Amino acid sequence: MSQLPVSLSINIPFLNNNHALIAQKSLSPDPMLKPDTVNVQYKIKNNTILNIIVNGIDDRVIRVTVNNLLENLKTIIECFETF
Amino acid sequence: MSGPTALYTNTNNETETKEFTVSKDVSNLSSDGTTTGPSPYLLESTNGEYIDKDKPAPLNLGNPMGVLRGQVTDLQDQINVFLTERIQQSKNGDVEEIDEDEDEEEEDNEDEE
Repeated sequence: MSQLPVSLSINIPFLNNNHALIAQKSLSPDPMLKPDTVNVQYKIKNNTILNIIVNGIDDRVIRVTVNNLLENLKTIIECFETF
Repeated sequence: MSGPTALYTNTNNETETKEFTVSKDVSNLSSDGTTTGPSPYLLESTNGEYIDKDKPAPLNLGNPMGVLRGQVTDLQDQINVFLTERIQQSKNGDVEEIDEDEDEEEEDNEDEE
């Protein structure tokens, strides 16, 4: 059994590389409170797709982390939508 | 622009995977997720008078970013429902037994109707 056996990989397609980069740079400074139970990696694929990989110790940790992450992501997308 | 996707993987015992995708039909999208916002307990305890100051703005479906926000909300709901079910099942012990019990209950309900 690996140390963090549960993972969720999320792909968010943006219109352009700039939006993907802004989203990555806005989300990535958020520190994990318990890095031994969950970690998050951000990558940009094919220039416009933000790939977020969340690895966690169990489903509960993944659910809390991903829900919070997607709430923050929606705020970022709402900013793109408005401005 | 294709929609957002997600892939769940659990390698705890056997490897389990589940893929999440969003519908291409944008007319059903909403910024109000079914698993986000104030809890039923909060609404009940304030007699439905609770004002949600964090309520997301309505979607602008004429804007690709409005569509993306609705799709992310849909994806978030799917992930939350899936993981909540798994958490409840693991709390109650054997996952397979619970599934069978739920199926039996559903069949019983259908029979009663």
